[in-house]
Amino acid sequence: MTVWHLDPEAIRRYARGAAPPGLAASAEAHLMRCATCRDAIASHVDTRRVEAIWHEVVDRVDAPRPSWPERMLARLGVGEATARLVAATPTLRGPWLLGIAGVLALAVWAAQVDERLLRMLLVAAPLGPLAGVAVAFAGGLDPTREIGLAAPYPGLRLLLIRTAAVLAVTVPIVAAAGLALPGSHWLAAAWLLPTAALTCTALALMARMTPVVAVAVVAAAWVLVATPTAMAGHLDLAFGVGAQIFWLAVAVGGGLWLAVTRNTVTIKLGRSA
Amino acid sequence: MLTRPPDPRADSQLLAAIVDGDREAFAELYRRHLPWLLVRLGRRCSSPELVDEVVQDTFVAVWRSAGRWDGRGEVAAWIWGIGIRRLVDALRRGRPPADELTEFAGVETSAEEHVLLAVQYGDVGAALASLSPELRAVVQATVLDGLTTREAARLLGIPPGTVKTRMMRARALLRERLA
Amino acid sequence: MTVRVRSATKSFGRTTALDGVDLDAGQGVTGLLGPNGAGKTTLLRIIATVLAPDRGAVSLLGRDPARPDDRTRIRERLGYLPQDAGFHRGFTVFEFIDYVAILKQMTDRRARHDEVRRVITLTGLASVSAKRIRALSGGMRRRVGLAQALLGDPDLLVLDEPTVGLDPEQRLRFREMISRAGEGCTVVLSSHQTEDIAALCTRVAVFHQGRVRFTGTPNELTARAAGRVWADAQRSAAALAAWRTGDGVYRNVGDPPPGAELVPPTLEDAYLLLMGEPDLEVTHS
Repeated sequence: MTVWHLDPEAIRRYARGAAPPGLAASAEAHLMRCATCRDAIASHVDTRRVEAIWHEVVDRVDAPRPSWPERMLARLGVGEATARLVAATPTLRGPWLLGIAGVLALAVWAAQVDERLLRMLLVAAPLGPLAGVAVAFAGGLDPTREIGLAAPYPGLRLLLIRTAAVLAVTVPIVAAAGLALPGSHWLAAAWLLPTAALTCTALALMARMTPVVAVAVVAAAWVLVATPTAMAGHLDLAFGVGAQIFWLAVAVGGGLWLAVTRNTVTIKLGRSA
Repeated sequence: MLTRPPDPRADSQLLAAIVDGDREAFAELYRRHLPWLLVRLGRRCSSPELVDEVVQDTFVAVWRSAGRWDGRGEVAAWIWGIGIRRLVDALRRGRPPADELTEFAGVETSAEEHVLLAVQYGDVGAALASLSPELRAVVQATVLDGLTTREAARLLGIPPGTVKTRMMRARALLRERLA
Repeated sequence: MTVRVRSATKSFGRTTALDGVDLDAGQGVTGLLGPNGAGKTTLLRIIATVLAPDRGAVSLLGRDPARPDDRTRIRERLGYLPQDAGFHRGFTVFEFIDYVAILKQMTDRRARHDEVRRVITLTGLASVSAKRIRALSGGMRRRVGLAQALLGDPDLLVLDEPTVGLDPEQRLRFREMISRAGEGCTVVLSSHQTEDIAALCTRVAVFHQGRVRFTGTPNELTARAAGRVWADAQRSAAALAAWRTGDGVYRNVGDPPPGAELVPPTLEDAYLLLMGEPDLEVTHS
């Protein structure tokens, strides 16, 4: 039994749209089953059209599908490239965030029980976001850090994008925990400015030391100063109105300093093996 | 993109590779099936831009849902199913349905084609050719393209009831001619 | 000269990683050869503008990386593959290279994606561009690392141990890709494998304990071992190093005793000789 194929003339007429309905129907039914005739049709289709469509298809297929944080940011008017950088920040990972939330929930519960723990919570609150910043820049957790360092992307911009991303996620978590605390809601907000000030200071210190060390220094200084005052009941010293103004000044000062030194901002690398 | 050594894999194997993310397999599948899809869809819609869009959508859908092919029948038929439904959707979305019936009008059946039709389909082909364009369009949409009554109605821009009655008339006429 | 380093010194705490190193590199492939800890990675990081030396002068692509504006200009023409290049979890090959392209300031999405596709094709990754990197073999991952370094068609390509851990076939293919990339740009790479250096490099600098022991062409390095390699039925007591070759004969490197059967030297022999003589003066050619 010979295999039936469409003859070249039939293919040509069909491809040109000049085939009568019966021939067309016959051709189409046959093409569903015959790879040889499908190949034969290819020579009748404009190559440029084929390439152009391929280009579009490939672009849509390759383009990374934006994750939901990226889509949200896009809606807020953030550029697509910046949104990708934000979404790739280490730390913005479910397990880590759940960890923070879990620890805080525990702490809030404990604070309901004992008033001293409540004060400790205020001292501990800024440490959450600070830890997030450290982790976001810690070498071990950002696998592409070295490649990023050799890239022309402005160092300060990357620093700020990542820090903003970390804060935008960790601050609400800590704030929610704060609102669940007994006592006035003023307490829930009192740690915000200190956090801003400490973060700015840590960023400024990164010019001189590696990110993890910078955060550790700032965190240690904070704990050393704030713990005794909190334990002794003098919350006002660290969180009162006067103190808030001080923290605001530090935050603004740190921000200005960063702006002035923006061209020299680069993350220090420690000695690795 | 067109200059590549021939890929010996069958369409079904290419689809399986696409599920794995193999872009070369995808390029090969595209090379094999784009031409006929362009022509076939082009005969149902007179707007080349719309056809280009629909074909794009179709292949992106092939990439994304390659795992959903049930393994039965021809891959070409599966691709056609995706393509024709995308066309129907696109036409429904406000573009005026292309008047593809005009393509059939004015085409003369030459003597050779009569012979060809008789050889391939015997009397069926000739009987089909003797139907009016409206009836033929309905037969093509439901029988050849595999659309449901509602989908055919959307494609042709007529109410589903009309599709049904025309199908009944076409069947009656064909039965008569082939009896 | 694309790269000029003069008297570069770098210490980390009490360890001196680089001690007054000079290096020149131009068109073609320049190799840094030496054992681990010899200072190759530190120097490569300095050339990649990721580290600054404590002392010394560096000029890259005619600019001074100590100045912030120049540094950005250098980085725009630079591609870097670090030693332990890692990848974000869950990224596909395309997504990762696209991410690096964003870091390289390619903001226009269409043009960026075209460039990503170009380097993917260059490194033979087209068939796996949609696969997750963590699902790829070590050899393929290394190719992804090379692909991102090739983004933007850099004038200076810095590769730190690019072939380490690859099997011989992968290594061969990688060398091919590097060789092709080296046409028309300056490549500086490091390795502790002499075959890589012999196969790829037009110039080689041998590193030992933070200092450069030799710079010149691979042939010049090999020539230093001329007359100092001989074959014998057993290990010779006079040999600096000796090992049994495939045909049962011992290959000895060092000062041959009189009447010894000399054999033509390889780069590896010269390297061993150099490493075995720590008081040797630095040789430049």
